Amino acid sequence: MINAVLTHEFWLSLEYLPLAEQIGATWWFPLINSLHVLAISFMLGALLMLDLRAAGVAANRYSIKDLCKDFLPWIWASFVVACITGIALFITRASAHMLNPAFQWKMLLMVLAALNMVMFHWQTTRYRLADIQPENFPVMLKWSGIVSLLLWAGVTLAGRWVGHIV
Amino acid sequence: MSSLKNVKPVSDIVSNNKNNQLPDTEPFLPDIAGSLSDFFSNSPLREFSDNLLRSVPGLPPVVQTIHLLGVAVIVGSMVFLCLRILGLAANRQDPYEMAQRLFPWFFSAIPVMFISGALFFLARPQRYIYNPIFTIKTVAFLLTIFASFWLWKYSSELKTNTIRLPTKLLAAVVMSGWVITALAGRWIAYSDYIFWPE
Repeated sequence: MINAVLTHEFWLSLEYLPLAEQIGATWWFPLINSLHVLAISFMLGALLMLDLRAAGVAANRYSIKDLCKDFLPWIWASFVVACITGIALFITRASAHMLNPAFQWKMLLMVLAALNMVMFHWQTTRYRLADIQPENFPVMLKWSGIVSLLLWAGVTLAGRWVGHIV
Repeated sequence: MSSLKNVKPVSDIVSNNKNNQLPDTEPFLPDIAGSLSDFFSNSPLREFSDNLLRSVPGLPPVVQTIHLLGVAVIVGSMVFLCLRILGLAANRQDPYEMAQRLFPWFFSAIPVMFISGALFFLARPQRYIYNPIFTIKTVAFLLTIFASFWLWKYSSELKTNTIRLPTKLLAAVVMSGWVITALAGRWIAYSDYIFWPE
Protein backbone atom coordinates (compact mmCIF):
# COMPACT_ATOMS: atom_id res chain seq x y z
CA MET A 1 0.00 0.00 0.00
CA ILE A 2 2.70 2.47 1.06
CA ASN A 3 4.85 1.41 -1.85
CA ALA A 4 2.00 2.12 -4.25
CA VAL A 5 1.77 5.67 -2.88
CA LEU A 6 5.54 6.24 -2.88
CA THR A 7 5.95 5.04 -6.46
CA HIS A 8 2.74 6.57 -7.84
CA GLU A 9 3.20 8.33 -11.17
CA PHE A 10 1.65 11.47 -9.68
CA TRP A 11 5.08 12.33 -8.19
CA LEU A 12 6.73 12.01 -11.57
CA SER A 13 4.03 14.18 -13.16
CA LEU A 14 4.91 16.97 -10.70
CA GLU A 15 8.42 17.09 -12.14
CA TYR A 16 6.97 17.87 -15.58
CA LEU A 17 5.05 20.92 -14.39
CA PRO A 18 6.35 24.04 -16.19
CA LEU A 19 7.01 25.58 -12.76
CA ALA A 20 9.11 22.58 -11.66
CA GLU A 21 11.17 22.78 -14.84
CA GLN A 22 11.62 26.53 -14.42
CA ILE A 23 12.87 26.08 -10.83
CA GLY A 24 15.08 23.07 -11.53
CA ALA A 25 16.84 24.51 -14.56
CA THR A 26 17.57 28.07 -13.41
CA TRP A 27 18.91 30.20 -10.56
CA TRP A 28 15.45 29.92 -9.00
CA PHE A 29 16.62 26.70 -7.31
CA PRO A 30 19.49 28.23 -5.29
CA LEU A 31 17.37 31.32 -4.54
CA ILE A 32 14.47 29.23 -3.20
CA ASN A 33 16.88 26.93 -1.38
CA SER A 34 18.49 29.85 0.45
CA LEU A 35 15.07 31.27 1.38
CA HIS A 36 14.15 27.79 2.69
CA VAL A 37 17.24 27.80 4.94
CA LEU A 38 16.53 31.36 6.10
CA ALA A 39 12.90 30.52 6.94
CA ILE A 40 14.04 27.43 8.87
CA SER A 41 16.53 29.42 10.91
CA PHE A 42 13.90 32.03 11.83
CA MET A 43 11.42 29.31 12.74
CA LEU A 44 13.92 27.33 14.83
CA GLY A 45 15.36 30.48 16.42
CA ALA A 46 11.94 31.54 17.74
CA LEU A 47 10.97 27.96 18.57
CA LEU A 48 14.18 27.50 20.58
CA MET A 49 13.26 30.40 22.88
CA LEU A 50 9.67 29.20 23.29
CA ASP A 51 10.58 25.54 23.88
CA LEU A 52 13.29 26.38 26.42
CA ARG A 53 10.75 28.45 28.33
CA ALA A 54 8.24 25.58 28.15
CA ALA A 55 10.95 23.33 29.59
CA GLY A 56 11.51 25.89 32.36
CA VAL A 57 15.16 26.32 31.33
CA ALA A 58 15.19 29.97 30.21
CA ALA A 59 13.20 33.22 30.32
CA ASN A 60 11.19 32.04 33.32
CA ARG A 61 10.32 35.62 34.26
CA TYR A 62 7.83 35.68 31.37
CA SER A 63 4.70 33.53 31.17
CA ILE A 64 4.38 30.91 28.43
CA LYS A 65 1.32 32.84 27.28
CA ASP A 66 3.33 36.06 26.71
CA LEU A 67 6.13 34.24 24.90
CA CYS A 68 3.57 32.48 22.71
CA LYS A 69 2.11 35.87 21.77
CA ASP A 70 5.64 37.14 21.01
CA PHE A 71 6.94 34.19 19.03
CA LEU A 72 4.09 32.11 17.59
CA PRO A 73 3.35 34.60 14.75
CA TRP A 74 7.06 34.43 13.75
CA ILE A 75 7.15 30.64 14.06
CA TRP A 76 4.02 30.13 11.95
CA ALA A 77 4.93 32.73 9.33
CA SER A 78 8.41 31.20 8.93
CA PHE A 79 6.92 27.71 8.83
CA VAL A 80 4.57 28.72 6.00
CA VAL A 81 7.48 30.23 4.03
CA ALA A 82 9.56 27.07 4.68
CA CYS A 83 6.66 24.89 3.45
CA ILE A 84 6.08 26.90 0.26
CA THR A 85 9.80 26.99 -0.60
CA GLY A 86 10.12 23.33 0.44
CA ILE A 87 7.32 22.29 -1.93
CA ALA A 88 8.95 24.36 -4.70
CA LEU A 89 12.21 22.43 -4.20
CA PHE A 90 10.37 19.10 -3.82
CA ILE A 91 8.55 19.23 -7.17
CA THR A 92 11.83 19.47 -9.09
CA ARG A 93 12.66 15.87 -8.04
CA ALA A 94 9.43 14.65 -6.45
CA SER A 95 9.62 10.99 -7.51
CA ALA A 96 13.21 10.59 -6.26
CA HIS A 97 12.46 12.39 -2.98
CA MET A 98 9.53 10.07 -2.22
CA LEU A 99 11.94 7.11 -2.31
CA ASN A 100 14.76 8.94 -0.49
CA PRO A 101 15.07 7.52 3.07
CA ALA A 102 16.28 10.90 4.39
CA PHE A 103 13.19 12.61 2.97
CA GLN A 104 10.94 9.90 4.44
CA TRP A 105 12.57 10.39 7.87
CA LYS A 106 12.14 14.15 7.56
CA MET A 107 8.40 13.83 6.92
CA LEU A 108 7.98 11.26 9.72
CA LEU A 109 9.82 13.46 12.24
CA MET A 110 7.69 16.48 11.20
CA VAL A 111 4.52 14.45 11.84
CA LEU A 112 5.87 13.49 15.30
CA ALA A 113 6.75 17.15 16.01
CA ALA A 114 3.21 18.12 15.01
CA LEU A 115 1.68 15.48 17.32
CA ASN A 116 3.89 16.69 20.18
CA MET A 117 2.76 20.28 19.51
CA VAL A 118 -0.93 19.31 19.41
CA MET A 119 -0.56 17.40 22.69
CA PHE A 120 1.19 20.37 24.34
CA HIS A 121 -1.43 22.82 23.07
CA TRP A 122 -4.32 20.59 24.10
CA GLN A 123 -2.96 20.04 27.63
CA THR A 124 -2.05 23.67 28.30
CA THR A 125 -5.39 25.04 27.09
CA ARG A 126 -7.48 22.33 28.73
CA TYR A 127 -5.87 22.77 32.17
CA ARG A 128 -5.19 26.51 31.68
CA LEU A 129 -1.46 26.10 32.26
CA ALA A 130 -0.15 28.92 30.05
CA ASP A 131 -0.07 31.41 32.94
CA ILE A 132 1.27 29.32 35.82
CA GLN A 133 4.75 29.46 37.36
CA PRO A 134 7.45 27.14 35.94
CA GLU A 135 7.72 25.17 39.21
CA ASN A 136 4.04 24.20 38.96
CA PHE A 137 4.18 23.33 35.27
CA PRO A 138 3.73 19.56 34.68
CA VAL A 139 7.03 17.72 34.14
CA MET A 140 5.63 15.89 31.12
CA LEU A 141 4.91 19.18 29.36
CA LYS A 142 8.40 20.47 30.23
CA TRP A 143 9.80 17.38 28.52
CA SER A 144 7.53 18.07 25.59
CA GLY A 145 9.53 21.29 25.01
CA ILE A 146 12.81 19.33 24.95
CA VAL A 147 11.30 16.63 22.71
CA SER A 148 10.15 19.35 20.31
CA LEU A 149 13.70 20.71 20.02
CA LEU A 150 15.15 17.21 19.48
CA LEU A 151 12.54 16.39 16.83
CA TRP A 152 13.19 19.62 14.93
CA ALA A 153 16.95 19.06 15.12
CA GLY A 154 16.22 15.64 13.61
CA VAL A 155 14.11 17.27 10.88
CA THR A 156 17.04 19.59 10.10
CA LEU A 157 19.51 16.69 9.98
CA ALA A 158 17.24 14.60 7.75
CA GLY A 159 16.62 17.62 5.50
CA ARG A 160 20.33 18.27 5.14
CA TRP A 161 20.86 14.56 4.45
CA VAL A 162 18.35 14.64 1.56
CA GLY A 163 20.90 16.59 -0.48
CA HIS A 164 23.61 14.00 0.19
CA ILE A 165 21.52 11.09 -1.16
CA VAL A 166 19.98 12.68 -4.29
CA MET B 1 20.93 18.11 -8.61
CA SER B 2 20.59 17.49 -12.30
CA SER B 3 20.52 21.20 -13.11
CA LEU B 4 24.04 21.64 -11.82
CA LYS B 5 25.63 19.02 -14.04
CA ASN B 6 26.19 21.36 -16.96
CA VAL B 7 27.76 24.08 -14.88
CA LYS B 8 31.54 24.19 -14.73
CA PRO B 9 33.01 23.83 -11.24
CA VAL B 10 34.63 27.00 -9.90
CA SER B 11 38.07 25.37 -9.70
CA ASP B 12 38.07 24.67 -13.48
CA ILE B 13 37.19 28.22 -14.35
CA VAL B 14 39.73 29.65 -11.95
CA SER B 15 42.52 27.55 -13.41
CA ASN B 16 41.47 28.53 -16.96
CA ASN B 17 41.61 32.17 -16.02
CA LYS B 18 45.08 31.66 -14.63
CA ASN B 19 46.25 30.15 -17.92
CA ASN B 20 44.86 33.09 -19.87
CA GLN B 21 46.85 35.64 -17.89
CA LEU B 22 49.71 37.29 -19.74
CA PRO B 23 52.96 35.87 -18.36
CA ASP B 24 54.87 39.18 -18.38
CA THR B 25 52.36 41.30 -16.44
CA GLU B 26 53.65 42.37 -13.07
CA PRO B 27 51.04 41.66 -10.40
CA PHE B 28 49.77 44.92 -8.92
CA LEU B 29 48.95 43.30 -5.59
CA PRO B 30 50.69 40.36 -3.94
CA ASP B 31 48.88 37.10 -4.69
CA ILE B 32 47.07 36.87 -1.34
CA ALA B 33 44.69 34.12 -2.46
CA GLY B 34 47.59 32.11 -3.83
CA SER B 35 49.61 32.38 -0.61
CA LEU B 36 46.58 31.48 1.51
CA SER B 37 45.79 28.56 -0.77
CA ASP B 38 49.38 27.27 -0.58
CA PHE B 39 49.47 27.72 3.18
CA PHE B 40 46.25 25.81 3.85
CA SER B 41 46.80 23.17 1.15
CA ASN B 42 50.19 22.25 2.63
CA SER B 43 48.96 22.34 6.21
CA PRO B 44 48.62 18.96 8.00
CA LEU B 45 45.13 20.10 9.06
CA ARG B 46 43.99 19.84 5.43
CA GLU B 47 44.81 16.15 5.23
CA PHE B 48 43.32 15.54 8.69
CA SER B 49 40.00 17.29 7.91
CA ASP B 50 39.76 15.71 4.48
CA ASN B 51 40.35 12.21 5.87
CA LEU B 52 37.93 12.79 8.73
CA LEU B 53 35.10 13.94 6.45
CA ARG B 54 35.73 11.05 4.04
CA SER B 55 36.24 8.22 6.51
CA VAL B 56 33.45 8.79 9.06
CA PRO B 57 30.17 7.77 7.39
CA GLY B 58 27.55 10.52 7.57
CA LEU B 59 29.91 13.06 9.15
CA PRO B 60 29.47 15.79 6.46
CA PRO B 61 25.67 16.11 6.85
CA VAL B 62 25.98 15.87 10.66
CA VAL B 63 28.56 18.69 10.83
CA GLN B 64 26.54 20.76 8.34
CA THR B 65 23.46 20.29 10.53
CA ILE B 66 25.40 21.46 13.59
CA HIS B 67 26.41 24.54 11.56
CA LEU B 68 22.79 25.04 10.48
CA LEU B 69 21.44 24.70 14.04
CA GLY B 70 24.09 27.26 15.02
CA VAL B 71 22.53 29.64 12.48
CA ALA B 72 19.18 29.06 14.21
CA VAL B 73 20.76 29.88 17.61
CA ILE B 74 22.24 33.11 16.19
CA VAL B 75 18.84 34.05 14.75
CA GLY B 76 17.17 33.09 18.04
CA SER B 77 19.59 35.28 20.01
CA MET B 78 21.07 38.19 18.02
CA VAL B 79 18.53 38.58 15.22
CA PHE B 80 15.50 38.47 17.52
CA LEU B 81 17.22 40.86 19.97
CA CYS B 82 17.73 43.27 17.04
CA LEU B 83 14.11 42.84 15.99
CA ARG B 84 13.12 43.67 19.59
CA ILE B 85 15.34 46.79 19.60
CA LEU B 86 13.65 47.85 16.36
CA GLY B 87 10.24 47.21 17.94
CA LEU B 88 9.38 44.54 15.37
CA ALA B 89 9.25 41.42 17.58
CA ALA B 90 9.03 40.19 21.18
CA ASN B 91 7.54 43.47 22.42
CA ARG B 92 6.29 41.86 25.64
CA GLN B 93 9.93 41.40 26.73
CA ASP B 94 12.35 43.93 28.19
CA PRO B 95 15.18 44.68 25.68
CA TYR B 96 17.95 45.05 28.31
CA GLU B 97 16.90 41.81 30.02
CA MET B 98 16.80 40.11 26.59
CA ALA B 99 20.34 41.29 25.83
CA GLN B 100 21.63 39.94 29.17
CA ARG B 101 19.89 36.61 28.57
CA LEU B 102 20.63 36.15 24.85
CA PHE B 103 24.22 37.39 24.36
CA PRO B 104 25.71 34.32 26.16
CA TRP B 105 23.84 32.09 23.67
CA PHE B 106 25.22 34.13 20.82
CA PHE B 107 28.79 34.02 22.16
CA SER B 108 28.53 30.23 22.67
CA ALA B 109 27.29 29.69 19.14
CA ILE B 110 30.25 31.51 17.52
CA PRO B 111 32.99 28.94 18.38
CA VAL B 112 30.68 26.07 17.38
CA MET B 113 30.05 27.79 14.05
CA PHE B 114 33.73 28.49 13.57
CA ILE B 115 34.87 24.91 14.24
CA SER B 116 32.11 23.25 12.18
CA GLY B 117 32.79 25.66 9.31
CA ALA B 118 36.59 25.36 9.55
CA LEU B 119 36.40 21.59 9.11
CA PHE B 120 34.94 22.05 5.62
CA PHE B 121 37.23 24.97 4.78
CA LEU B 122 40.37 23.06 5.79
CA ALA B 123 39.38 19.93 3.88
CA ARG B 124 39.13 21.84 0.56
CA PRO B 125 40.72 25.30 1.02
CA GLN B 126 40.87 26.10 -2.71
CA ARG B 127 37.14 25.57 -3.12
CA TYR B 128 36.59 28.44 -0.68
CA ILE B 129 39.55 30.77 -1.21
CA TYR B 130 38.85 31.13 -4.96
CA ASN B 131 35.07 31.42 -4.44
CA PRO B 132 33.86 35.07 -4.60
CA ILE B 133 30.80 34.24 -2.45
CA PHE B 134 33.11 32.94 0.29
CA THR B 135 34.95 36.28 0.18
CA ILE B 136 31.61 38.10 0.52
CA LYS B 137 30.66 35.83 3.43
CA THR B 138 33.99 36.42 5.18
CA VAL B 139 33.72 40.21 4.84
CA ALA B 140 30.05 40.20 5.93
CA PHE B 141 30.94 37.95 8.89
CA LEU B 142 33.83 40.12 10.09
CA LEU B 143 31.83 43.37 9.83
CA THR B 144 28.79 41.82 11.51
CA ILE B 145 30.67 40.24 14.40
CA PHE B 146 32.38 43.59 14.99
CA ALA B 147 28.98 45.33 14.98
CA SER B 148 27.59 42.65 17.32
CA PHE B 149 30.39 43.26 19.85
CA TRP B 150 29.66 46.96 19.57
CA LEU B 151 26.00 46.32 20.37
CA TRP B 152 27.10 44.25 23.38
CA LYS B 153 29.40 47.04 24.57
CA TYR B 154 26.60 49.60 24.38
CA SER B 155 23.82 47.31 25.62
CA SER B 156 23.28 49.55 28.67
CA GLU B 157 21.64 51.91 26.15
CA LEU B 158 18.77 49.42 26.14
CA LYS B 159 17.85 50.28 29.75
CA THR B 160 16.17 53.50 28.68
CA ASN B 161 12.46 53.65 27.92
CA THR B 162 12.93 54.94 24.40
CA ILE B 163 15.85 53.41 22.52
CA ARG B 164 17.84 56.06 20.63
CA LEU B 165 18.13 56.10 16.84
CA PRO B 166 21.88 55.18 16.64
CA THR B 167 21.23 52.02 18.69
CA LYS B 168 18.35 51.13 16.38
CA LEU B 169 20.51 51.69 13.31
CA LEU B 170 23.22 49.48 14.80
CA ALA B 171 20.60 46.77 15.47
CA ALA B 172 19.42 47.05 11.85
CA VAL B 173 23.02 46.61 10.64
CA VAL B 174 23.65 43.61 12.91
CA MET B 175 20.38 41.96 11.89
CA SER B 176 20.88 42.39 8.14
CA GLY B 177 24.54 41.43 8.52
CA TRP B 178 23.70 38.01 9.99
CA VAL B 179 21.00 37.40 7.38
CA ILE B 180 23.46 38.26 4.59
CA THR B 181 26.17 36.06 6.16
CA ALA B 182 23.75 33.10 6.36
CA LEU B 183 22.49 33.59 2.80
CA ALA B 184 26.06 33.92 1.47
CA GLY B 185 26.89 30.68 3.27
CA ARG B 186 24.19 28.83 1.37
CA TRP B 187 25.24 30.46 -1.93
CA ILE B 188 28.88 29.28 -1.67
CA ALA B 189 27.77 26.04 -3.27
CA TYR B 190 25.88 27.91 -6.00
CA SER B 191 28.34 30.67 -6.96
CA ASP B 192 28.53 29.33 -10.54
CA TYR B 193 24.99 30.61 -11.09
CA ILE B 194 25.97 34.21 -10.37
CA PHE B 195 29.50 34.56 -11.65
CA TRP B 196 29.64 32.14 -14.56
CA PRO B 197 26.16 31.83 -16.03
CA GLU B 198 25.95 29.50 -19.01
